[in-house]
Amino acid sequence: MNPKSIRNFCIIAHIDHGKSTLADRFLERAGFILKNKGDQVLDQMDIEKERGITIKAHPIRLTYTARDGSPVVFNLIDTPGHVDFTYEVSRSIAACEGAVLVVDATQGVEAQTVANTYLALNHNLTIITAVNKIDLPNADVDETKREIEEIIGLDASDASLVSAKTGLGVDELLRVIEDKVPSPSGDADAPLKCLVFDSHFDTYKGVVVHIRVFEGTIQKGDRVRFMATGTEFDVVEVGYFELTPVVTDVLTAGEVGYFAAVIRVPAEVHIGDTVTSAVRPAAEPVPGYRPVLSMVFAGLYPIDANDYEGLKSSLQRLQLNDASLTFEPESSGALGFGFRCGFSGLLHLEVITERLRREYNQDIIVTVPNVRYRVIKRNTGEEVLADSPSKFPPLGEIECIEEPFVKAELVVPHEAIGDVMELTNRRRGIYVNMSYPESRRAVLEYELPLSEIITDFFDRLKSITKGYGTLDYELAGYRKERLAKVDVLVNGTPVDALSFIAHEDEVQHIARSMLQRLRKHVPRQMYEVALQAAIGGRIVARENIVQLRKDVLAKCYGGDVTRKRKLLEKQKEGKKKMKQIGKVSIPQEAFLSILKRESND
Amino acid sequence: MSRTTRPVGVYFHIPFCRRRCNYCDFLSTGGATGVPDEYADALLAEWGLWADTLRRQDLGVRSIYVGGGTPSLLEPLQLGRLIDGVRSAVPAMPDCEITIESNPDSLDISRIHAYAGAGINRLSVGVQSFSDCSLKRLGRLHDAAGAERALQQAREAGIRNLSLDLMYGLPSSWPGDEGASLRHAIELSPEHISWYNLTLAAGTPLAESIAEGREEMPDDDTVLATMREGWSLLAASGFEHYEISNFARPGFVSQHNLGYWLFTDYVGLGLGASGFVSGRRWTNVNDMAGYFAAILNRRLPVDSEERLEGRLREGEYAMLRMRLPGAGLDFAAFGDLFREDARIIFRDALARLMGDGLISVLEDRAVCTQKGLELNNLVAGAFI
Repeated sequence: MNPKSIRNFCIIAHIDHGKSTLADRFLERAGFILKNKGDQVLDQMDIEKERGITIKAHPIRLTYTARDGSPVVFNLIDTPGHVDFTYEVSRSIAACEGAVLVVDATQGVEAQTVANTYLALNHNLTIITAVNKIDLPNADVDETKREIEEIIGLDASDASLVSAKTGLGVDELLRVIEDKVPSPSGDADAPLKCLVFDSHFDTYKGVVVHIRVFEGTIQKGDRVRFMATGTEFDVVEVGYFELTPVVTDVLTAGEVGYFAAVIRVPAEVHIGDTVTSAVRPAAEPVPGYRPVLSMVFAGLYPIDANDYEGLKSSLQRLQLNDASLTFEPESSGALGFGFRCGFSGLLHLEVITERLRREYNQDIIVTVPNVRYRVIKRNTGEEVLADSPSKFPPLGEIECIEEPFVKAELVVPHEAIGDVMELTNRRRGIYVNMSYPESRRAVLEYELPLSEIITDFFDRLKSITKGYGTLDYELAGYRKERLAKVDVLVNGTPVDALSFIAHEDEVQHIARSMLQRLRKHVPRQMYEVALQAAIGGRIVARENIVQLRKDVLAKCYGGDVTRKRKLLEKQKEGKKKMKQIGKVSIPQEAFLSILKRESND
Repeated sequence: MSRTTRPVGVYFHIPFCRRRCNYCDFLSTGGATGVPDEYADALLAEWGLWADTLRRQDLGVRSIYVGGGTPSLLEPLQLGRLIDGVRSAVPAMPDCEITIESNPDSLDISRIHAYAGAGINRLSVGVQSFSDCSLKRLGRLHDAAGAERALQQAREAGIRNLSLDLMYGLPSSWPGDEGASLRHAIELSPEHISWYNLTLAAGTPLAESIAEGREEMPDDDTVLATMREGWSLLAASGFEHYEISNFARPGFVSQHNLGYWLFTDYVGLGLGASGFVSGRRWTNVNDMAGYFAAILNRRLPVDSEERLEGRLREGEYAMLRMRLPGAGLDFAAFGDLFREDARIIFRDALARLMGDGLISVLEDRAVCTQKGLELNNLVAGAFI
């Protein structure tokens, strides 16, 4: 295809600023018939719909007629919209020449928008500004334009004014994209160079790799190589996406599409990797590849040990569509065999565990999530990177513990500054700076322990700021802190899966609240059960579960026998789903209850 | 009647009450003033469907039990027809126990006389409490004096085997001394006492009242203390504790109820009744229209049934046996019935329960310890 007729672009927008609705209008104008009005085509997963966030990037090819009557091909590449998915966004952006920045005229510029716009500018994308929702009575176009200029620093004088909902201004915006977004450059005769920006798994085709071709051509029969991993495959199919995949003969420099090569192991395809020809390889990969950086770690264990293999293949499937999910086998004295999984954030963890339950029917226990700590050992000075409390050396061997900090930027309404500062102080934040890019909002810069952000920080921020506050953060290195590994003992037996890391000042409070939650979920047993939290050998909190004293059915006559037996059978089934710690049975809910911090923590 | 004759029990369910009690979830309709003749006819017709099958086996009727609901709403004539109907089809054993449950408010001396004349030789009276206040809150229609009068009249009418139902573990917010009620009951010298811990059943007015916080149930420790005190008192007064909630003077164990726990056959007749014959358990439909329709069509009104076999049957047997503090799981009886040694097939369960102090394993049987009775569900669960 002639690259002159191609426009590759993405849409940058804050959640709810209308990105998916605008995409639907683009689709309609390219002649696609959208079946479910109101359902946004590009967001396909249920969980995305429920949470109103976009997790996956879906590319789509739209063909229009250009001003001169010739066909023009738009490749719209969707981008994830949540703070947890920055790397994925950056890879989608790298596949484009242009970006449409959509700002809600009733909301103005949000922190996420700013962050993603800068990401796009760093990749030298041409930014087209669009002010959306201009049909709403409370739309403030001038103020929105002013914010775009002041906060982001883009010229907004010629911003497109649209209503994605009504379709107003959409045709004009398409013309602007055609005129302003550069067509891709790239030598079709050079060695193949494609950026992998996404993938999905197909039962028949194996991994389907979503690519942007920068140089050369790719077609069926080609022998290709992934440059970061070094693995090679034979291409069996190339194509592009409309609402469904369309097989084509060849993809050339400038095009966006996919290829399949009977890749059976999802983990072999990394987002951000470069695909080249195994016969005539490119000299350099597409820049920007980064091995996946997991921020949050938790153990995932099957309730039933027989489901281990099933959980493993489910995780492999999920990993295919999700480069920021990592996992490796681990074993726990309490929970048996499972996986230590790495996530880009707590939301990511929740999405993955929810998908495992719903889509893969996996009955799992999730252990307390934590960040990766750096433990310096006494005498030797040896460094241990511990992504699980069980990887901590014994207390006596620890010189000090360092934890990851992030540089966080919080954009909050003026009136919420006090409350937000209180929140960040409680979460051990270190104040760096505050600025007022404009009168209504303040930008707070803090350094915060990552571990404090991965719990419910974002939810708290949202609630304090009535939804207006935003958070963006990046890792800013490790810092020594007074931290302790807290073990939880059930009748004197440590339960490794319940261990957690806490700041020394908060140990008491967190340990007590955790034991109290645990107590509520562990059924009374024949013996008194002692729940203890300990640092090394020192007990820091204790709760007792009083013993079961009376458990007897008063009446068991002719009509009661079957009912009674069935009840006992059911209890027995339930008990199978519990984890035995010594003589104590601990139900799944007990582990789940640990995940939830109380809202006032 | 020969030495190989197998005993069978017959149960009639009378699902009618003048008024439903606040704690009761048994199948019954309130507002009744008597039992319709159509229902009594249906019971006999249902029995007729069984009689041929039973006659072909060498069975003898060991007991007849008329329960409810409020069976004392039956007219003596109706009761007589039921009892005669049973005995005319299948021979009754010589000491056949024939019980009717009754409420003090529907009894008087002439009715008890007439019941005795119809064949009743055991009367079970639903006293529940000797505290007027508790009786009122339970929704009972009688008071303590009425219960006492009924018991006295039963004696006068010549009933020699008298049983009395009492409850403990009533809401802690109610006045009334459960120990005193029990002592009062013992003073009246019945042959048998059923002393139950009140079970809160979902959907009853009492359960709703608890859920809404208007009443409060006593905590486990309080109930346990009452229970232990009562068990001691009953034992000291010459009552044998033969089942978790049942106590009898020597020779007055309820043969019918014992049959449930010893796994002997019984035929359940009437709405929602359950039966157990030759390893098959069934439960009748619980809607009146469905019941009558089946009977009219000469079909058994069975709603659900299961055939117990293998480990399921053995486990259920052990579960029921372990409700009997004295008899327990008798190894010889188990061997006779299943041709297997309970000590071998339940080896792990027995060892674990013994280790937990819930049972003692004697030479010829396994029995619950005091702890095993208090935590009887754990014992039963080990065999299921």
